[in-house]
Amino acid sequence: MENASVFIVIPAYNEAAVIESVLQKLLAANYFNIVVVDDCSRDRTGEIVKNYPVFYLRHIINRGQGAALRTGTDFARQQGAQVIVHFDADGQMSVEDIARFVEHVNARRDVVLGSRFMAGSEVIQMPWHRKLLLTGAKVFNLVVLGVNYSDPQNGFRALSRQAAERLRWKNDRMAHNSEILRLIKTERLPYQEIPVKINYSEYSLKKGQSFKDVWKIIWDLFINKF
Amino acid sequence: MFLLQYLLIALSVLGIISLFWQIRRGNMDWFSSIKWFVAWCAVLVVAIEPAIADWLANLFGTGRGADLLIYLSILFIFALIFKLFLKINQVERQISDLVSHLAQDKAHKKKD
Repeated sequence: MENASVFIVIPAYNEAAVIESVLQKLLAANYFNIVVVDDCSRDRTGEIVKNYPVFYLRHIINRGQGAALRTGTDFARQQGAQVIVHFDADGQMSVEDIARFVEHVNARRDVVLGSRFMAGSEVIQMPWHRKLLLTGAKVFNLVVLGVNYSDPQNGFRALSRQAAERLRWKNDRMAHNSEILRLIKTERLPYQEIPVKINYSEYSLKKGQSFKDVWKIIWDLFINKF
Repeated sequence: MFLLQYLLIALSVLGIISLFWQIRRGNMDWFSSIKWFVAWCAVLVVAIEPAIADWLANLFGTGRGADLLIYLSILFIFALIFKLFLKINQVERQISDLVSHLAQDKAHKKKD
């Protein structure tokens, strides 16, 4: 499949410091369908993104990462995307991994999920407290939601067009990761986990999830069941 | 009869009249209508015959009718708060949908 039908969706909130280098790497790798959803940034994110030949969408009110991904995914579908890749704006994900995600979707896996904990993955500078948090998330997802994935909080994923149509997550904020995994199970979509390279930086760690987000995620998952 | 009983009887009668008014105007679904009708009838019955509250309190093991009323009130407030949370969540989702549609309608791409 040509890169023409591959859309990269990037939710961005106050990412002026790194978004430029992420876009440059993606364009250099010949991904020309890039959808940046600016979740009401207060810095120069929008100004920077508008200088590049990418789709720029702006939320006029901050709605959270889950909502920004939903907006970008819906938009990519409308543009005729066959494969939709969710990619972070903070520069910790590797552009080189995208090709393998696309290959697996083309091999009739509707959903491909990145994993930091499989053999072959490469995780640079992950602090112990982040590892502890992710282990806790894995146990929670297994025990409470009944989904068994090696890395449930990883936002690096690719969806086929069909999967993007069927995965209708409701959570606007960080709980969307767990909800997507539950939906993959309930929709019985064929999925595959693949090892990825993640490079943590001081910047990406500051932007990522922390222990104080845990209760909020649990509450959001609960309230959105009704 | 005490003055409080007269007040409660008047309040519950007003509540039932207002309920029928809301039903006639089509502002309430059948489940809510039944729920509120039962609630106002319960207030009316207890106001006319307070001994029923004590009998119920003994049945639940709370001792006094007034205590039972307080426990039930707390439960009612919790249920009400939860319902408000659900409503807020629903409104939040609608806001997200609106924001998303606006963002997609105004999508911008710089030409190469």
